[in-house]
Amino acid sequence: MKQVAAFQIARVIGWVAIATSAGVVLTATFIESIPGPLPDQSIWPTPRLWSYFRTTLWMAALATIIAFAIATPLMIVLANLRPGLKRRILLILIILPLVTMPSIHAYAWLLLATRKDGFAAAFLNAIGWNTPGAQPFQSAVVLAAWLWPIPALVLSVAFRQMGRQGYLLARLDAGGLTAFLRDAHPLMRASLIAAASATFILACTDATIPPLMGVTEVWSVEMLAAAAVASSRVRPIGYLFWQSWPMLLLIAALALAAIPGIRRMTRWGEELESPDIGLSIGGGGGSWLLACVLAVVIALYPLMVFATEFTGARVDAATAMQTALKTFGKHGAATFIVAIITGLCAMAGGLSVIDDHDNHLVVRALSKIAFVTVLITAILPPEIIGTALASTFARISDPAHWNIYDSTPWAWIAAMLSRFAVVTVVVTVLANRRVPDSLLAQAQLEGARGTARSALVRLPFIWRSIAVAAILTACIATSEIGASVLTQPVRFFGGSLAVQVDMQMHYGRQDETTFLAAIMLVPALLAALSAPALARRRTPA
Amino acid sequence: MLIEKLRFSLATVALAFMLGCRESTESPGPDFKNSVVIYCSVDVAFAEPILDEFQRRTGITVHHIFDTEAGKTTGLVNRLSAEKARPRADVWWSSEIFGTIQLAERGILAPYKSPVASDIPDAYRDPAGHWTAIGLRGRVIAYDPKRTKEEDLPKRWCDLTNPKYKGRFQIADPRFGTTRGHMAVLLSRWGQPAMEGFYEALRANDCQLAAGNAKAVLRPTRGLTEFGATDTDDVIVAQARGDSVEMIYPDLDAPGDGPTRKGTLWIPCSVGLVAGGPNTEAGKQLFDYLISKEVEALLFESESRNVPVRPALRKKLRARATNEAVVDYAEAAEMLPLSDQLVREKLLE
Repeated sequence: MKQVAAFQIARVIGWVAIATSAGVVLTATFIESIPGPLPDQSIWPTPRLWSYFRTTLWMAALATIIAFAIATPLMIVLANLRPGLKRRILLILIILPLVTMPSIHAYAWLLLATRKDGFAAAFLNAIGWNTPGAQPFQSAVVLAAWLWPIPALVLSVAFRQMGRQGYLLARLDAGGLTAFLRDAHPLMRASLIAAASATFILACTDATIPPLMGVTEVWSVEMLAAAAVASSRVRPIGYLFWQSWPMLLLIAALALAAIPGIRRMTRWGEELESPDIGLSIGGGGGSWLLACVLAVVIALYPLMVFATEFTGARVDAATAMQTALKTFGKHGAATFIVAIITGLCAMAGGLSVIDDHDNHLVVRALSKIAFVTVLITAILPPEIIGTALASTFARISDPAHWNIYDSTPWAWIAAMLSRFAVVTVVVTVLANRRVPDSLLAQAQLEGARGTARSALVRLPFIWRSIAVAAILTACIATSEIGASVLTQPVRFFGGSLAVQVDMQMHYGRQDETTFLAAIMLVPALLAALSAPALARRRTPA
Repeated sequence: MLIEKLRFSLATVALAFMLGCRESTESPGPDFKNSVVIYCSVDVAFAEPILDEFQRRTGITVHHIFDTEAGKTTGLVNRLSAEKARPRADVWWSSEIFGTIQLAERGILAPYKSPVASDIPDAYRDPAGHWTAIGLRGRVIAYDPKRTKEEDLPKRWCDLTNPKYKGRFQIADPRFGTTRGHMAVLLSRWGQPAMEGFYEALRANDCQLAAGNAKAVLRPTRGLTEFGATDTDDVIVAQARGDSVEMIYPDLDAPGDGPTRKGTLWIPCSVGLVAGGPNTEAGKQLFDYLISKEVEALLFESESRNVPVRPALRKKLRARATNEAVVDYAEAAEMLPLSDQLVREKLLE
């Protein structure tokens, strides 16, 4: 019974966490947006905004295409590897770029491309990387360097579970491409769309890489400027909402398009695969080694760039490290704490959306409301999320005394949950769908119903998937900037390290910044190492 | 039974949350009595040692929040606006002045005439006391002397429209930061028709936008463009980094002006007291410290090299605001909405 009680408490904590984070954001957005655009605001975007919209779309489309190009060879090798050390190593290398702070990718490319000498700079100059007007192209490449693990992971799972067998049989009488298009592709189409949608959405909405790469004519940078205008308006959140509706609509449409693919991924994290029919795509020792070399280069290039940067530094690495730790150490500790609590709350949020048909009506309604709230809030721009939380929490807490807004990082955690809890929540729902019906029926026959059944039967099946998703959520939270600057607490011992790192990257003080950027890779490495280790264990039968 | 347990759990969590939000009736702890909160968009590397020194001397704990560079002061201005109903900051310290004047106009800053400001010239003080300015940074053109001769560069900002500079320069995105204020100053001096013509000519001249002033310096030093409009501190930081970069101080003359030189735009940092902040007295002490001669000297001695606004201090430190123009910052701040509109419609549209 202790397990049932613990589950109940975790679920209630999840509801409260979602209500005080995504719930607050959604309510504030609803209240301020319902009256419509502000009197001097046009609902129809100006030609300039349409032009930014178009630039954003082609930049994101290019990023998606490049991401798929990088992902495809690695996906094939990954899909063909049997569970074991080789597969885990490749998996870690694939996960790492995705959980690395996006600014770090941008900063590494920036350092590389603006070096005074060296092969890389010469090569990039030769291919026209630094040509005026090439910034959206540069941005697309960097976005792809960050996002390619999404198609690699999604498609390798889809290929193992849906397309591999058909492909291998088709290869008996057709070439590789024909076999893929004719037999594997139809089975994987939904997953392909889901991976492309996710990559495209993240490329469209990222507000860290384009500004660092010097792109000014995109939607996310325009939102930064719009936030400045909004701050002087009566309904700032309403202003931002009506300013951003075309992009929100697009994101919602893409998210809907991804749903069938996401549903088919309910076997995510399992080691199940299509039956072995004695055929192989390749992917032996040679291709594994080649894939690993490629993955190492793509995953660890920021570290390599930072390491070589110190050879020409003004100060030595030790001094840079001391300065960086002295100035930013407390922010690192605060960010780490916030990330851990965000991960834990996201886990609780995941449990809070688990639905069981014989739960009490109130419980079922709360689960559904929590799920929808998290989904909707995740597509809102960080400026809306931060403003909604800052204004609400500031209003309810007295600055003259200890209070939740100034003295604790809750508003900041709430911002992180509003943006990223969706990862854990969606994974939980998907994992929940793969609990065998026969087992649930058996549990019901033995008297376990509703919450007890969820705690005793569902949870042992899904907790590893939830934990992996929570680790990823926590890791992503360490690199958030847009909402963090609006919600980090004034009386906590530290603020957001990502905000500090971002500021230094723009300022160009390279030695300490380079060290800080290297530090920011640590949570990414931890997440990349721990997630596959946790996921590889088999679920109890 | 289950529902009862659920109710109990919900009530427990709700109670815990309400306790977190409660307005304590107990006397405030020492941290609240003797502390001050500052929102700061001055670079952390320059600002934090100054704030630490204030804390060491006075024993008042300083809690600070810094802004991101991408949005310049945007993030913290938004935060001040979002918290207007119940402010948490006591002091606002900005790396520029135009946004501060706008905050004052919105009633976010309180009037405070500091005794420490008595030797600061009137041009750098709000007559009503809503803001005080210190530490100037100049708007300059950065170039690599190894590749470009000084005489080949524009001597006035309006010369950027000369076809001979086509495709050869960058300016930072004028929707943000000091470049935004710079455009407002030009508008206040030139008038709308000249400014519209300037933007149209800039577009015709393939003016590239950089994401920030640091980038506008980086590209000329790497041979990726010939020159860039930026701030003095960005050039000084690049020089300290070992880059080959120099700067010139263009004049603010309007297109068609005669030989008269109107001088270079220098933009100060600014300090304001937040209206209704929780620790006004401690806030005033910090305000006084930030606008003091000592802090002006520290800013000048830092890598940022902000030039003091106090004439006597300038003389003492041998600091010089080269070719300094006389600028009415408040007048330029009034033009910001129109300036932003023109930037969007004429330069970016």
